[in-house]
Order: sequence, then C-alpha cells, then structure tokens
Amino acid sequence: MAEIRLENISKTFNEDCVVKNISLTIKDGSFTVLVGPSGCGKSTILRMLAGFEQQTEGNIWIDGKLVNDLAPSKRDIAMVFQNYALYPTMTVRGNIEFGLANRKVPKIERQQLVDEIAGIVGLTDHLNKKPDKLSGGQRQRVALARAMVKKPKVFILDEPLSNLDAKLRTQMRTELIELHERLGTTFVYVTHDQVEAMSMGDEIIILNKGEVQQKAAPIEVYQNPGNVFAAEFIGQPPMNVFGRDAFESVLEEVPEGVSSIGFRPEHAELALETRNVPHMAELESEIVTLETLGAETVYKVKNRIGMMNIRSFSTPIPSRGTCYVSIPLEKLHPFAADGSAVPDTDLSANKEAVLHGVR
Amino acid sequence: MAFAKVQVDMEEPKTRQQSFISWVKVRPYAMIFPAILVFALFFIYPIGYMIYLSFHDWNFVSPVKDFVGTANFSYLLNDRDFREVISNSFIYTFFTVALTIGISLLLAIWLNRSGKLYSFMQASIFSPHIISLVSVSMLWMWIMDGDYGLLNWLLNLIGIDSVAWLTSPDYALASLILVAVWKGIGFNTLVFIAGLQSIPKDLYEAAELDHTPPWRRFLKITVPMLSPTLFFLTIIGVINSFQVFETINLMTGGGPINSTNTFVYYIYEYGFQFFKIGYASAAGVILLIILSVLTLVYFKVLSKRVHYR
Repeated sequence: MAEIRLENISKTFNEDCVVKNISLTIKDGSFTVLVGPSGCGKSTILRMLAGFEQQTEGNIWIDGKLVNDLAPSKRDIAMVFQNYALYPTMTVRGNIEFGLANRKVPKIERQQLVDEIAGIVGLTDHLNKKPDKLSGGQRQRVALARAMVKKPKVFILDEPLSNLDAKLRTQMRTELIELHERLGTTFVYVTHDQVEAMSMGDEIIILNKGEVQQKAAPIEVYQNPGNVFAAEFIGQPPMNVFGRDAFESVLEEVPEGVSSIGFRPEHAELALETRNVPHMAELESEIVTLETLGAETVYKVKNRIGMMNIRSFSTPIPSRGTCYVSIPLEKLHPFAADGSAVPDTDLSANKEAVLHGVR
Repeated sequence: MAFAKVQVDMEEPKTRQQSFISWVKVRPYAMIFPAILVFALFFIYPIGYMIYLSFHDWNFVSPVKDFVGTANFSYLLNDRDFREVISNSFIYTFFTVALTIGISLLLAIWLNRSGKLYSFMQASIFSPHIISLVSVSMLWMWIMDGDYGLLNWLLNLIGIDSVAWLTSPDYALASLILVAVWKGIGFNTLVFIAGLQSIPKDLYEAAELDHTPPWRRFLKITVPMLSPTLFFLTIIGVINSFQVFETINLMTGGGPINSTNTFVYYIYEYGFQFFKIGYASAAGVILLIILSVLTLVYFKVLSKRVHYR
C-alpha cells in the first residue's frame, strides 16, 4: 500500500509537451481513475509512474520514496497492460510465476502462491494452457494474476478492459472493484471510457491536453463539474452547454462573468403541452431524433437555444412534432469565460423573471 | 471433393441435368490444371527421370540405357570419396548454418535500433547478399590467395605466418564456410531484425516489471518469440548449404584431395565431366532423400517448439 505523489511533472516529446506541470496526490489504498480523451497524457503519466518513461521535469514519490531514478522493477509496482502482454510461449502458470522465478522464490512457495492466486481469479483449471487457448476474459485474469502474485504496493492498469466485449467488460468491472476491496492496494487505472471511470473510481482525475481538469469523487464530478470540459466529458449524453447569448433570451438576468451555461440532459423535462411550472425555463421545441433505450429515451430537440439532448425516463413520446422542454433553474451550471465553473452563482434568482419560451 | 458435392446439393436441387453436376466436380481440377502442368513438367518429371536414371548406366550420348539395378547405389555407398562427400556436406552445412544464424542474431540485436549509423550498418551488412556468388568467389579467391592475398598480408603484418586458405586440405573447407557465412549474414540479419521488430514492446516492459535479468529475457522472450524466424532461416540455410556449388566449383574444384567436395559438386563432376549419368543420378536421389528427411524432421520435431501467433 502506498500513497503516490506527483510534483510538478512535465513530459516533453520532441518539443511536444504532452504533460504540463501536473501535481497530484493519489491516496493510499484508493482506486484512482485517470480519464480523458486520447492524447490527453493519461498513458504517459502512467508510464512515468511505472518508470518506462522518464519525466522531463518534476518528482514522483511512491510511498514516501523518491523514485525518479529508480528502475521500473525497483518501484514495487505491478502493471496490467492494455494488450495483456502475456508471454505467449509460457503456460498460464509460467506467466504468473515468471516474476517469482526471476526473484528466485523457492519452487514450493511459488506453486502455493500461484495456486492461491489462480483460485482467486478463477484460473485453476487453465494453469497448464498457453494464453492463445484462452478467451479474452481469461487472458485478462492471467494478466491480473501475474500482477497480484507479486504483492505490489501499487497496481497500475492501462485500459485493461478495452479489448473485451461489452458484457464481459461490465462483469470484469465489478470483479475489479471487488478485487480492489479485497486487496486494499492503491489502484491507478487509466481509461478513456467515462462510464468505467464513474463506476469504478473512488476518485476521478479528468485530464485534457496534458492538464488536470478536475480531481474529485465521481458523484462530485457529476454534480459539480469543475469546468466545461469535465461537464461535457462525464455523462452520457454529455451536458448541454450553450453560450451566454442563447440563455439571455430565456433568462431575464444572466450575472456578470458568466459566459456559458449548461444543464444535464436528464434534468430537463419534456412534455407535449405547455405546463408553465415555476422555477423552470420552458422552451417550445421540436423533436429531431429519439433513441429508445428501454429504461430511458434520449431525445435530440431543437429550440431557440439550440440543439440539445434530453434524457427522459418516462414513456417515450411517439410523435416527432412540437414539445415543451422545461429546464429547472437550480440545475443550471454557469461557467466563466475560461471554462471554469462559477460556483456561487445562483441562476434560480431569476425565478420571477422566467420568460416562457413560447413564441 | 466432398466440398464440391455439398455445393452441388445446395445450389442444384435435382432439377438440372447430370452434366452440370459433373462439370462442377471437374471444375476445380480444370482450374488448377495449368499450374499442375507446369509443376509436373518441371518438378515431377525431372525427379521421376532422375530416379529412373539412377537404376541405369548411361553416358549421355549412347542410345542405350543399360539397366543395372541398384548397382549405382551400392557402388556409391562403398565409395570412400562419396562418404567423404557426405561428411563434408554435413560439416559444411552445420558450421555454415550455425555460424550464420548465431552471428546474424547477435548483429540483429545490436543493429535493431533507429539512427543513421545503424541504418548504414544494416545496409553494409546486407550488401554481400546482392553480389552474385561468382563475383563473391572471385573476390575471396583474391583475398585468400596464399602468396599475395589480403588475408595473409594482414596476418603477416601482425606477425603470423601465411595460411594456405584454399590450397591446404586442413583449411579449404573452413575457408569456404567463412565465405558462405560472410555472404549469408546480411540476409539473415535483415530477417532477424524484422522478427525482432515484430515482438511487442510491452512484453519486454512486463518482463522488466518481473525482474527479468537480461540473459533470461533473451532466452525466455526473445528466442521463443523469434522461433518462427529461426525455424525459417535454419531450413533455408540447411537446404542452401547442402546445395552449395558455385564457390566450390570456382574456388577449390572440390579439392585439395577431395576435402571440399560436397554433394552437388560431386553430382556435377560425375554427370557432366565423367558422363556417368546413372551414377550421378543415384547420388542425386540420395541427396533428395537426405533433404526430404531433414525437412520432415524439422517440421515434425522443431515445429512443435515453434511459436506462431
């Protein structure tokens, strides 16, 4: 178990700065997810943590120890690679015990450890098979077992579920959460999938263009996105964000310093008739498309503000004509010109001044 | 055949004529007929004819081919020269292949990096491969000349006596092996580099996290991952070495005292210099058998240890 501290970390590849002066603390025993679009630097951070890349600037501390110049094998970490990186010429047992054999752990002890770990990840029947005889999920388990058997201080997982099919991915997600609870070790998990980040992490670190956008618990990221990027990255479909001008036609007063306003698709309500509920901005809209997902329906509607997604849990509206979208004012998220959230701005102060969108 | 039948059943539910069905059956054979014809004419027929000739006594011009049964074979197997030829061929093949592969692998590991120097080295090492064997032979005859060759001049410079590279029965075969290794390294290195580059980098990273010492990383990851390449180069190397001809013909003529005489040169000598075609054919049959057995052994035994992704 270990706390990880990144101190002013930068990484430059051929004058191309991919990680820009990042400082982070990853709590001991936490399940921390680094999430962001491709090219945001999340994998580079992970590789610097593992020691496969040397940071251009800054310090990395693992368990209170400065590891800048420590070889990957000396950092007491284990990694699960995106493509598993199993040794294809060795059996499952060979794969799991390779690291132990290299450290000259006696054979009997090795066998015990492998059997124990194989039991945990459910590979007992497959120990003598080669990786190419295993399914994707089983390979994933071998990769996990190989990491676990070393009893590392930190687990590093680089998009480990991206090669699995959707169903297996959901299942492995649960298994990884259970595994983390069981081991209590620090997990650092990289993914580009916001659903994985939300569902697995104790803490999410959202990255974009080599900079941290927000670092918080999943629910906090969802409820109080730190900036426009975080707001639009988390949530499916993403938050609807519009410029100040669009909202000026709906709200009587938009406070100074607010340059854009967003709201989550699930917070807006959709009705066939005008309802005129107080504290809500109502807009006459036109349904453009709808996706019926069973439990929920995602509508794409067009109105004076622009094109927006509305997520509704009530029975789907069959017709595609005119409808009325009501947005609760207290669910509006104001953002400043630089994209950061404007925390203490209450737009529901507009309650008396709501203009009905009906024209 | 079964496949064609199934297709018929699916496509033609009994309504059409019999003639169509038979055409469907014949069609695949008709399609591959041109290829089969070429193969038969240039591969099957010569091999069959060679086997036929090996049981006869013929001098290339006489209209009569005397059937002599297995006399050619029994004579061959009792011939001391031929036994030497077999042993020379095996020694030549073993050392040529082992040295070429060993040195090429080391070079490939060294040169498998990016950079101008490494590209230049790769190109330089490859260049002997594109020179014709005749030129290579002439070049090395000059280098290995006993009196005014480059090698002996260099040896003399550092105070070592001249070596009779090509004119001593003790050194001649080794000299030929040296030339073959020099010529073969380029191609082998290039293939090894390609093989090395196809090994996923993350395997080495995983190995690094697994505390793998360098030699163990080489033995447990690099070599097994290169096994298809190793397998391929070994087979090609063995077959080529068994069929060595040009260098021997030009540089030593099988001598001195039969010390560099190998299979193909021996066959050439008997066939086209002594005009004992039946006898040469018998030697050819034995070469064919040896190569077939070697190839079979490789595929049966070695391929089990080869890892294909």
